[in-house]
Amino acid sequence: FLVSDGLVQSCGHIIPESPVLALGSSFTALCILNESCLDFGNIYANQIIWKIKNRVVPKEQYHEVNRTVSSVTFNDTSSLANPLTCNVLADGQIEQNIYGITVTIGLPPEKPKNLSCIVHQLSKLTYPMTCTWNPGRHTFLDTHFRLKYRWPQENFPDCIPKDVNNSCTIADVQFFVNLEVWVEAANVLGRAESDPLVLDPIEIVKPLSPHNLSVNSGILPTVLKLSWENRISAAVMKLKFNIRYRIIGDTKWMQVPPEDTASPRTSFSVQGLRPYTEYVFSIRCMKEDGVGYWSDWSEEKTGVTTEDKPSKGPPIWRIIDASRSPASWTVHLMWKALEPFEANGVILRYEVTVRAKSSLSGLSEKYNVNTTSLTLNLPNGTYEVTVMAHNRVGTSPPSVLLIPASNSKAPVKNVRTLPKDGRLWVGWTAPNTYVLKYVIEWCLVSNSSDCIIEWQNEPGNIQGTYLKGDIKPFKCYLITVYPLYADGQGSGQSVKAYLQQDRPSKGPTVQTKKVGKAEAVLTWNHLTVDEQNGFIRSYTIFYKTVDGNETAVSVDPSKTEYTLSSLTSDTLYTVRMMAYTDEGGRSGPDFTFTTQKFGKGEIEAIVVPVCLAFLLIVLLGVLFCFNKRDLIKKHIWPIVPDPSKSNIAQWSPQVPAK
Amino acid sequence: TGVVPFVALLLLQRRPVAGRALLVTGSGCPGHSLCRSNVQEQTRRQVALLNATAQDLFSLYLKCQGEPFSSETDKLCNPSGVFFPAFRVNRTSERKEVMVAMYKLFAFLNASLGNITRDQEELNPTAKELLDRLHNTTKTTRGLISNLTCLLCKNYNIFQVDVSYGESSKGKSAFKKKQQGCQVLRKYVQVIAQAARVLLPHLSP
Repeated sequence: FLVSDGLVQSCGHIIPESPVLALGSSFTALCILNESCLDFGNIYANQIIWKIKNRVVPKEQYHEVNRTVSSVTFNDTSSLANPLTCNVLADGQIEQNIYGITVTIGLPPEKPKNLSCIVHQLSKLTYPMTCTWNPGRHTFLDTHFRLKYRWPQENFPDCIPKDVNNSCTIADVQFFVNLEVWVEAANVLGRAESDPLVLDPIEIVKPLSPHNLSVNSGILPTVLKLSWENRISAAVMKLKFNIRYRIIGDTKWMQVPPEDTASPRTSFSVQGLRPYTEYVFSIRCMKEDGVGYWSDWSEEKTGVTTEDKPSKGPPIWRIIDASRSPASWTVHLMWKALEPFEANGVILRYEVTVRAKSSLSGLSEKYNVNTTSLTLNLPNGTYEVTVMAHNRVGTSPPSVLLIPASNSKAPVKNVRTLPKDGRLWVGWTAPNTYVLKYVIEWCLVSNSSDCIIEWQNEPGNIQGTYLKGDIKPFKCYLITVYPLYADGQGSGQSVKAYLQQDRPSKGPTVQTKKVGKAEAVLTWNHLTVDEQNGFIRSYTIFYKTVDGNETAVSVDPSKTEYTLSSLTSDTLYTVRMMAYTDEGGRSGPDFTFTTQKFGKGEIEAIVVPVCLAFLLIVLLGVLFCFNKRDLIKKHIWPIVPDPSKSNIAQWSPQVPAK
Repeated sequence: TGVVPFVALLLLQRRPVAGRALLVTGSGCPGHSLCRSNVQEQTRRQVALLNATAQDLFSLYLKCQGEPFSSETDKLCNPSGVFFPAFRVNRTSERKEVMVAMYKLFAFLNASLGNITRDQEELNPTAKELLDRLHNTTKTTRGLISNLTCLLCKNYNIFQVDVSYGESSKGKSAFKKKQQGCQVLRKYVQVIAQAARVLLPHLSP
């Protein structure tokens, strides 16, 4: 730099200054020295050193244009960085910077592609058009996009995107005039235009959905009438519709056949609905000829069909309690409430008719109840029970159950069960006679609660079904299958089953009944059904001494006693028992016992002979002593002379005579 | 916005003016690539749309002007008091004649609607629905003029049509402005119905 009168002047400059270059193109910069700079320090162009950042550009890229101008050429601008500086080695080989520039490298815009437009109806008279396109590669430069559009004789002001580069919205477009639309992209390196799109905006309309939808029921219980307002004038566009509906609470939509609503309208009667059912409706529209876009679905509206008489009678079953007396029954009649699609309204009452078939008069008793059961005391006999459900509109067809005096008809055979896919399936072999229907009864077997019967009807032409109740895993169910005929009933065939088994919740408690020297009789109680969690397939008894190996013995599940043998006498044993289902086993508590030192009768066998021997010895001794009593007497009881009879006694005058 | 090409002419005149519309210079039809075979159907739809909305527009206009226009419509809105281009064609007229008559009619209407819209923005600035409808009708007539230009140029090589625009309402009193608008719109309702009837056989596929 030159310093002159307090001002600092640059010794030279570079052209171009702040260029914008295309990536991959070539670039030449010139460093031009001022004449005054030459005078100052004998600085010439051949002394110039070009640098990119702080890296010296190879001299092969330099060219001395003349005494004051040096150029540098880059074949590929991708090697450029900022800043590019022109420097010189001044006196003393000190590098001095003359000038520097920054370069901007980028790409010209690519041709915008995939231009597409849609007209969204905002209100009855407002139709903005939004066009979107693919802007192409990133240019690394400030690139402007404009959406251009025109009529045949009129150009409109460009639409300039806000904050994005791939979409623009024209506030309002006119229908029925062909519009040419295209996108222009431009930056300092060039410009590009998309292919034009020629369209009539009426063909790309997404209308507002119909509104003010109302749903009204009429006379027919299977019909609901929909009415609505269209928000696009018929003079602008004729519409076609889709109507969808679902039962409230259901997720699955049904649709009115599109061909039925393919013409302009403001109402429609939907048929084929269920009586007394709440439906949700929604509607959408588009241009009648199918050109354009469907509107969004309208707001949902609900409506309820009117009631109709019940479509079928309730299924009936009975529980007969003959325990009081064989000649008199307590009959619990029960029937299932109709499903909503069968009840077709609110069931107000049930009419039950019981007719004794054995009665000659054919008289019957009628009962009106609003529950789903009825208990009667009836003499033993054959009865025909009819149940009809009543709602506000009418009466269901009758359901009939024949209660024969005895279940004498052929039963089913081979009742079996199969848990599958979370359901408990029951199968059977049908009898040879025609069966009207089957009744499947089941109840939960438990020690802590009564066996409350649940049941279901099945058609007579099947031989298997699954239990349609709340079947819990690890619980035992007693399932009974009854075939019902036109003129009687077969006896029930039962089976127990589990939906899913588990290992028992506890093991059997084993204890000894009797312990010997080398054997022990073990005894236990069967697990309760609540403890089993499955069918007990086997028991295993484990026993061991303190320092011995454990021995296992399998036991049949029907047993409650078992004798362990070959035990060591006078030894402490620990025994436990495991019960197994198909899913595993559970061990009960340990029990200890000690085998006896002596076996049964062993002590007697020793004591009795010893006692006998002792007795014999005593007898022999007594005999011996008796035989040798004199000798014994002589030695043991020697005779001691009587002094009164001694001679000395005779001659003593003081001794009285005897 | 619908009358940008024509407002400049109207501002300069105070009596019925004539002008040459179709600012076409040079040979060939401008934008001919956009002048496609569907332009006939488009024109028919535009006329049908204007016909369908004309009466509602007029009724709304009367309502927004208040009294005495609502109650003395017949007296105040007699169309004989204003200039309106003749539309003396019928279904049997030559198609070219019909197109030219249409062009003159809608060029006039486009200008008049621009006037009425300008006046109503001043006199009834809060009548949003009326202003929206006026804008919409004006835009439709503008589009219709574009299509008619296409048809005349492409089918009949007609590049110029003499158009009369009527008297401007600028400088008139508020009452006069309202009345002139009322008269034009009333006549418009009648003429557009006639145009729809006449146009149909000429523009049917």
